[in-house]
Amino acid sequence: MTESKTAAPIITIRNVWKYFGQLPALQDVNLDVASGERVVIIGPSGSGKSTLLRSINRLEEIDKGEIRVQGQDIMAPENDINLIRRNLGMVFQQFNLFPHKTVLQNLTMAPIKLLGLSREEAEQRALGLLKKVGISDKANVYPAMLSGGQQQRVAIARALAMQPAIMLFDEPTSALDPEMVGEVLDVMVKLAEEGMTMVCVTHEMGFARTVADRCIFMDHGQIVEQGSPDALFNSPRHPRLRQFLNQVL
Amino acid sequence: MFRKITLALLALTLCCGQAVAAEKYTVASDCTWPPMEMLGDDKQPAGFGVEYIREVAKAAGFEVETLNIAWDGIFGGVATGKYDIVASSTTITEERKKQFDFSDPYYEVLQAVVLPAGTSIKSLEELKGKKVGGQIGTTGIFVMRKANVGADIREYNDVGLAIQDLVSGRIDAVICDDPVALYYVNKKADYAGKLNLSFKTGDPELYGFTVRKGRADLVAKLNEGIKKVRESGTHDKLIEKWMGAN
Amino acid sequence: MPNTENSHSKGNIVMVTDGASIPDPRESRLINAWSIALAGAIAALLALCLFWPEPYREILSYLLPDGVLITFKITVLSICCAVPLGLVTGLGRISRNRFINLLASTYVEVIRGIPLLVQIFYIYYALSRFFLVSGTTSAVIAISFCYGAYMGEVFRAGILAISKGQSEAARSLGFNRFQTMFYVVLPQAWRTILPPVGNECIAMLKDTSLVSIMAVPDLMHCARSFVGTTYLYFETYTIIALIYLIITLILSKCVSIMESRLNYYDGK
Repeated sequence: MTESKTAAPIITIRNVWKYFGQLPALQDVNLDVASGERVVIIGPSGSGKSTLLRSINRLEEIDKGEIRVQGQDIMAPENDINLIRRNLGMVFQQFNLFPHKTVLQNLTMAPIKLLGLSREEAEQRALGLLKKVGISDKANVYPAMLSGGQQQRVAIARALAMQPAIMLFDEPTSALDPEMVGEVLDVMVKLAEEGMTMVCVTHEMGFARTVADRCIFMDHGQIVEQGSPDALFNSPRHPRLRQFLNQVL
Repeated sequence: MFRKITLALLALTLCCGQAVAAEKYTVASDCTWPPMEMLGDDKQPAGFGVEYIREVAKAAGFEVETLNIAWDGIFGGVATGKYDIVASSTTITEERKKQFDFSDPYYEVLQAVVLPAGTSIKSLEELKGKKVGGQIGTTGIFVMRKANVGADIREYNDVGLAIQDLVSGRIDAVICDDPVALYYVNKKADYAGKLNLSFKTGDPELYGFTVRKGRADLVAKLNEGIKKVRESGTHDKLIEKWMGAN
Repeated sequence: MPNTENSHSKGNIVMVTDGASIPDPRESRLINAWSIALAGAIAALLALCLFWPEPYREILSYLLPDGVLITFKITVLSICCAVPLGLVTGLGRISRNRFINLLASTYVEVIRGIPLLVQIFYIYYALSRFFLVSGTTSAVIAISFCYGAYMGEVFRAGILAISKGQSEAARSLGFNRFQTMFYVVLPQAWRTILPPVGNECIAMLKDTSLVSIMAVPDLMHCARSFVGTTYLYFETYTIIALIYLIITLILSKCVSIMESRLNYYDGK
């Protein structure tokens, strides 16, 4: 499957360094993501995987190196980061739904204010997405009334409402009760099957195996090993990856 | 036991002290009313009224201690017994006589209207529609209210603030006792040439010392003192000292 | 003044202010501190006027229409200036722009270090060398600047109490900083901000009594003027205390109602 993605990568990450104070969180990271590719990043906590993901839409500002999304340098002052972000849907560990807005309003706010959609258009789009994530009956309630799994599915739908080219997932199931993990992963699998470009930081190894085109193992701010999930999980070469897999599997 | 002895000693000293020293009364004066009651260079109460009550006390054989008390509330303090006498250029009025007792009059004033230099009036009627300032609760304000000429009456905490607003142009006139008006017009360097004492009302007002209702003893002492001060010529000396140059 | 301490998930606030205490909107019992105080104050006022029309009714008629109106006028004008000023100050205090941040912080420091009475005097008398403002205007300016600084801190605390995830979610959708603040952060922060701001507004109403020194005939000044003529200290100040109490109790109830309206999305 990877062979077919020979076109220009949709995300390029070159020699990226990021420091938190004196501590390097990312050390000379290089990564290309092709259009339509599903990349899953795994690694122990503190390995820099979330930092890398958040650097792609500039929620973290990198100190050195270059990140391009759809060919645009995200750090360049002449490129409007707010326009670039419209194409980068993001799903957070803590859902971060807007509690003062109903589910429907959470989905329609950005398309109306940013894309200039009419309310009817935006609501139509939102209802379609809610149906897709399986909670169309909750359109008019406030997020506080929903379970964690439902909230995260709304959060995915909210990101999709901007019709992004790429979806970034930052440990989307880590804050969920175990019985709700499945419903969120199902939505993500469905999205993958539709051909969405996805970069996902997760601890769900099963998901990584079934969905990923490519798995990235990070440790100490570096990409230690990458390859097909099969290669990574079944014949890990690096001792740190082996140690990590022993702990999580 | 020890406590009992100390108490006894204390009582003894108190008795002796009273026997030796003359009776002492506290006096309240609002020291924002120059030259009648004001603060001297030593920050202590000074002025015609302050010295007058001292002379009265000396003549009648008692002692006074003068406190600087804000005008707004000065009568409340004498009513509740915080001090014995108000000596603060208080005009004897019918309303005040209902609530307090007064000594015999010791001085006579008129109400005076101060205007910016170069302007003048011949009657209170000309103040119609004008902003007229005065000190809150003083007879100047009462006169303006009674005249009812349609002026906008502004009541200030003290007359100095009203004069300041007159000089800066916020108000058009200030009404107060004539010695005070003369003081601001003639004796304050800051306002030299800026003010004009333009008009005095015809009705004289009499100053009296104010005491709590029913203090006939104190009134008698005050009257005795006032009489002696007048007879000895101290009265005229004080007028000469504080109002002479006018 | 307000000492806010937040646990951001619920927006609980620990406050120490000189304002009236805002009744708890969840308090549903008929008899509580608020209703006792209000009923007591109104009953006392009515009883005084009914049984001793002289002097109480006379006092009331001297104070009521004009004095209260001026007090309200100064309060409302000051609120209209202080709340936006507080918002701007709060935003300035969290601004990443060093200059704006320093400007806002200096303003807060300076104003908080000067008593309101001094500020009022300063604007009224000291500045009259350069421009003349009326007593009402200088009161509104002084009160607005003073309370703007205090409210700036309330706004800052309220904004900071909103979790970072909220603004990150908004930014990740493509909202700029300004849109994020006004569409996402502030609407939520209002809930935290409203009770202390309401408190400040009530404290403001009480502080308007300071304008009486500039010969502005507000409620307090009318009372002093009346006392200056009649020497009815006890009676007049009893009435004035009751009037202030009734007004602040009603206002604190209004704040409490607004607060409960803002809790609509709690899911409870």
